[in-house]
Amino acid sequence: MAEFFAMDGYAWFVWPTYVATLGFMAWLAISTWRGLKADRKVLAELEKDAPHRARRRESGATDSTPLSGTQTSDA
Amino acid sequence: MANLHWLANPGRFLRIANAVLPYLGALTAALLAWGFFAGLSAPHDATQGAPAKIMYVHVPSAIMSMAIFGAMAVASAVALIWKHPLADIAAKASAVIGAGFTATTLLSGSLWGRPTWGTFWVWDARLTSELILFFIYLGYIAIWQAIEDPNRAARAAAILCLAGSVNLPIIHYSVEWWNTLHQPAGLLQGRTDSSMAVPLLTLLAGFFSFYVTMLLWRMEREVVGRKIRQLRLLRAQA
Amino acid sequence: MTRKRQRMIFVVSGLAALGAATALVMFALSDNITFFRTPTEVVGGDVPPNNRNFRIGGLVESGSVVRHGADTIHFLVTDTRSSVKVTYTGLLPNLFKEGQGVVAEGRMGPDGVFVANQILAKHDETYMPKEVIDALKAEGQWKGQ
Repeated sequence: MAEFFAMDGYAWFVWPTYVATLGFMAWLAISTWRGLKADRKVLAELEKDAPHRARRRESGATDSTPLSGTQTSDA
Repeated sequence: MANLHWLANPGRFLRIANAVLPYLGALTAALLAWGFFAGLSAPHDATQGAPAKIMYVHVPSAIMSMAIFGAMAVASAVALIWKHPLADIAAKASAVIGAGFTATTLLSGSLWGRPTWGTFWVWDARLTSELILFFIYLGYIAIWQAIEDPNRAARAAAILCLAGSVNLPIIHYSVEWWNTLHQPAGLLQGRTDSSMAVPLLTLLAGFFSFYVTMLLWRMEREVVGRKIRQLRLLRAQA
Repeated sequence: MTRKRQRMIFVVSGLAALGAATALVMFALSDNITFFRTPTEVVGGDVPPNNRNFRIGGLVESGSVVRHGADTIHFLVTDTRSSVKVTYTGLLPNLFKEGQGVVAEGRMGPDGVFVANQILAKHDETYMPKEVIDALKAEGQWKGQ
């Protein structure tokens, strides 16, 4: 086992590579998930505060809420 | 374009993404766990010895760093030409993932180069063009940060992305067009023994699956973020 | 013509122009982009002016390595057509071996011997465990070094 971790004396080259790459992937996954959860909460509160929005939601119209920052095709 | 417009509805996108995400997440975790285990327990390369273990993160990182930029370029073209509402969101959501893989490519390559070549860094065509790719990613991210209005940011970022995509063939063919210290690609030419190629391909699949998972998550977050922005604008006007 | 079509033509022609410009720049700079010169190029007189530093790359010719004292070494760099004699004093990378790829940085001496101040090892894209190579050698199938 110790021999495996020693990597023939190249441990300082091999392991930092794995730690950095897996660390980046873990950080990305966690930060994305946390950010999404926080944003969903903010959105839910905003929609709660806006009664006309809430009504539209009940009638199933949320799907068509247009995205700001996008345009429909004008072809 | 009928299919694209069918998917253009953000609510429908969110429903499909949320249905797919648990399976995709599980697939990613399984592929990565198996790939890392198999790679680390594979035999050492005869010529290079232990440092060649770095290949298992370097090669998938490098392929993803270019594949993600390619996907962003396609999404940018779709956003500019067809004004598909999800295209610029997909491109924006990809950028951080691609930039991260470019950084891990450069770092792992450097840590591989020192024990095998005898240097952390040389300015050969392959290494330099990959470093340029990293800076293009940073520029792309900076545009989205700097421009407040999503419509204008999307346009500027898409143009930068398409212009930057000329770098992709340069990275790929650099090892054939010029003499480089970096060796040519040999993964699919049968010059890698299957005991190493199988873990490598598993990890490549794992990295790709990781990208798609993160992409859907980050797109979802962007859709939610834009809804928040719009509700706040409405509130401010009221 | 629809606006969609106009935008498509705009994007495609923009990319084509940019690609052409990039290709021209790289063609003009190709001498600077290339990381090393081959022995054939160097023997043919393709060396930078004013005895500037440059790199020469190829294989360490089998049987050509001669060691002088503790850390000085002479060897031939070859691309199988021509070879150039190189002398170097200092630490060698682990992969430095006869038959392996090498890149030497330095300048041409007056006697036609390349005086290197840095030696980098170049390796190929073959990845195989020792056991597999031994097995291939036993079967007479091994084509490498």
